[in-house]
Amino acid sequence: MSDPDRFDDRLAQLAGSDETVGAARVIARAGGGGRAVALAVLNAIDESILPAELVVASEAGETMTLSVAARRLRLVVAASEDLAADTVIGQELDPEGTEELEVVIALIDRFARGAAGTVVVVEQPGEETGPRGVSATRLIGMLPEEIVDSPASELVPEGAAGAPEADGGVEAERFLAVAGPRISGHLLRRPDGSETADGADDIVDILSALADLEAETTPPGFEMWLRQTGQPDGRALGRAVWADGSVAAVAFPAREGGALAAAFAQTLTV
Amino acid sequence: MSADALKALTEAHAACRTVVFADMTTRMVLLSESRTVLHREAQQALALRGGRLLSAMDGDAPDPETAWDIAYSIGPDEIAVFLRVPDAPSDALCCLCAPDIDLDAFATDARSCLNRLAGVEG
Repeated sequence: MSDPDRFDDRLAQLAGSDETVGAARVIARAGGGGRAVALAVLNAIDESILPAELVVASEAGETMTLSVAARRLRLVVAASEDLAADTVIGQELDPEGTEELEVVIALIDRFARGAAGTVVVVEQPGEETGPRGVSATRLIGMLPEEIVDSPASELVPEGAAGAPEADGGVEAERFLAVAGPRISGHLLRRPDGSETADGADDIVDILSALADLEAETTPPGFEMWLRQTGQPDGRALGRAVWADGSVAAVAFPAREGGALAAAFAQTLTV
Repeated sequence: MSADALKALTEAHAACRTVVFADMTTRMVLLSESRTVLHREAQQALALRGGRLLSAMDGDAPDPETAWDIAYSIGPDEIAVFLRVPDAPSDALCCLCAPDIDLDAFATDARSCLNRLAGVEG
């Protein structure tokens, strides 16, 4: 798919039939489970282009205000008292700050588990300048295991932008969630052609070429390239494909090859 | 004996089903060892598959002077492991294993086996 096609596809997704309540857009229903709510929040971040503040609220009365831009979470501006995580409120998020990212994930987790009724988001213009923040894709990979293992049908909540049947990539999402701490970059291509990526620009370029590579095996399959005689921290590449057409290309330290193979195998047995 | 190296590798790893030592330049299978009957065409196909996979990402090797030297292809029922020697890239070892293979241990032994066959120290 060419870049203009990807852009058009992205615009088509964004122009999907959103359900709105006044100025608020419904992104999930609590009945879909904690995973659906958490992913809907992170997907809302992943849909951001211009700097914005997202006020996420559920009928339980809990709210979070998130500063976002370019598919990244810059900082948590505010949160309800019940969710309070003072250590991250107003703090610029550093991609290297693993502990503070875990606090953010815990905050979203608490919001998701405590949500009731519909969950909505109100978007307001944000500051043009601000920290770069952390990609939504990376945060999705950090979701707790028990949320990650929720039913696949909850990946795209009812009423959220984009048609559920056009998304897919459940196994690929699960693979990246498990592999997340072990990889240095990834590119996920879903069955509908949409892509998300995380990592340094030169790595993402390589992963894009890797995703385009013709598979040697019939899906599902995972191919890895390593330099066994090199350093254990040396860069290695992997490309996983699934029967639904989704592709995940990953870069990782060579020593993680065995663990990633196991992570891929898990997606075949669930 | 060179053939003994392949036999030793399959005997050391019960989950290793087939090993083929091939010359990628001439596309010839030089040696093979298999727990089941593997026809010449299948051996050749395995070697060609290994050659394609090993070289597929050569343009993106971390160091232009040192290409990837091991590639895996993991499927639900089988894991294929392909190795080549950086100093002698025409020599390749192509292996088919059951999914329960200990990948790291097997890769280490397969590397040792390939180095012996290719006459490389290490």
